[in-house]
Amino acid sequence: MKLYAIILYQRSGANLKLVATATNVADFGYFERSSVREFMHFFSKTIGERTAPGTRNAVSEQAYVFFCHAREDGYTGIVIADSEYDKRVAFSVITKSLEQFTAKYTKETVDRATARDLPFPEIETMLTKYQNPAEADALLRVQRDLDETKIVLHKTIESVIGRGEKIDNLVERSNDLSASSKVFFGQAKKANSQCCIVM
Amino acid sequence: MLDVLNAIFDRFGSKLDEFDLVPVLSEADAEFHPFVVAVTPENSVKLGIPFQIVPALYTEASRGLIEAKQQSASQATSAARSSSSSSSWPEHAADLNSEIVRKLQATSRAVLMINAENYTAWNARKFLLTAKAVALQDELLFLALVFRKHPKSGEAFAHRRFVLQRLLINDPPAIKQTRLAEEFAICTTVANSYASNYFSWSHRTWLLEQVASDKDMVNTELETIKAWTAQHPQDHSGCHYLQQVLLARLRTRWPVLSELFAGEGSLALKNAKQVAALLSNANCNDLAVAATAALTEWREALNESAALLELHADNEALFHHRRFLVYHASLLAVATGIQASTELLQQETTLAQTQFAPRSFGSTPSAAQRSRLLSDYLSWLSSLHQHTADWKL
Repeated sequence: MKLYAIILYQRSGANLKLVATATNVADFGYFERSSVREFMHFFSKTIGERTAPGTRNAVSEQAYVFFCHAREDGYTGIVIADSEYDKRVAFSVITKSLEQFTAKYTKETVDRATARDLPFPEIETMLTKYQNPAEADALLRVQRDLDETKIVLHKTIESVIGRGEKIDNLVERSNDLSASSKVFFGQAKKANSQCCIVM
Repeated sequence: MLDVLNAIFDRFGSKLDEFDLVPVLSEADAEFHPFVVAVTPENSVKLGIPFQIVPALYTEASRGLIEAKQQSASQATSAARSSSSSSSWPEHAADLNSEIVRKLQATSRAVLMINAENYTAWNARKFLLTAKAVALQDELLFLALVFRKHPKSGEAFAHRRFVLQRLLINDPPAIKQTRLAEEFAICTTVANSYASNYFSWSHRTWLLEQVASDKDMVNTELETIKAWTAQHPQDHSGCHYLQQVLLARLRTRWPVLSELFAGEGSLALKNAKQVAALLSNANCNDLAVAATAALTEWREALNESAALLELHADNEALFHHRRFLVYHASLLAVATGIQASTELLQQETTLAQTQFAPRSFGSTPSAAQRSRLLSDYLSWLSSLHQHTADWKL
């Protein structure tokens, strides 16, 4: 079980504004890291924008799972983990991070600022803390009763983005991804895996 | 291209600890064009091989390798004036000139970085190692580099074992211990980068056999692997290895129990005759004393597993691990007296029914999975119960 990222957004209209983020890419190859980080944010935003306020989503993509909780008040939290990570813990981590964030900054402050002006080191601590299975289990003992029936499960990102759109097109059109990340995405797709033997 | 690659290795040597395939070529005027070389603040060096040049590089390297192999064979044959087959490796490396040795080393290295399953290339390296043209220690570093990109290469693990066997024979005890500790660490890294990696775990089992008599190392290994399985609760290969460590620890501490656990800890049930023969064969008193002590220790593992199962009762790997623990506990209990075994299984049934049962929450997929796993487990328990009843003899 591995936590890769906690990313928090605030909704303004149809768009999401990044307000806080923590990522852990130590497991990835040196040359992949920056692209992986870009893609984590790109996929998170794609999923977050398509999650209706007041609902929860869990989206599997290859070996990773994106857990998304959009609150009624427009704050949206995403946790990226591997498929072994307990979903009850993942959603509790989102709830906790959003609670701490909104306790620290008022809505008015957030409206006027960007992520850079809203330092939130607590989120890094949280990311490290819940890598630890003992901490995750402790959270689970308190939080055991999360109602799983309300979580919408998706097997791929494609099934979230809906009809008429393809993830390849979204990647191509995106302004958030660098040119080299787009090439990386193409190569990885061609080889059908992110950690492949090309031959 | 091969020359540039060699220059990179000559320049950075052991600092080069990672390589990967990258989507872009470096600038045409860069020092190591077309390769990408990055030096991190920690002073380790990362090599990027652009996707575009991989086919060309592989062709160049494998042609070079075959050429070098033929040259070495013909040169050795003419030097020894014997008529040995030209397709095999020469017997004496001294017959070869250094240029061919360098060529063999460089081409096999490039081939293996792209395709770690190339048999000829590993054989070329085995030849260089036996000829002492490459140091065994350096070969371990090269293998670690290969594992970064090819964690699931059976050939690479076989080669590593070949190197280790040669090193361990000559190692003094203190060095041997650090070397094995490093080996365990490598296995962990590789297991992290590729789940259920059979080769890495069987390599680790082989290492465990090498340290089986060393109590401290087995204990350290137990702690390491416990932490690992907690981190990867669904990877059964980790659990399976944990079982090997638990059994190895019992065998080391109470050699008299070895026979009871013969058969590699598999769940193939022993029949009544086998158990009766065991109990009458061994010095019964010794066995009972050892079994009682071992059972007390085994309970610690049972408790840990129960705590995990209570929280993650939809995890099949945890239930399999529990079967292993309970089966061995009942074997130990039989050795202390049959009544103890019946009692143990009854307690286990009650525990499973109360603690591992699904909490009542509608009909979610995981609740369904939980009750299915639990009922499988309970029927396994009752069949074990019937089976052990025969052990009374």
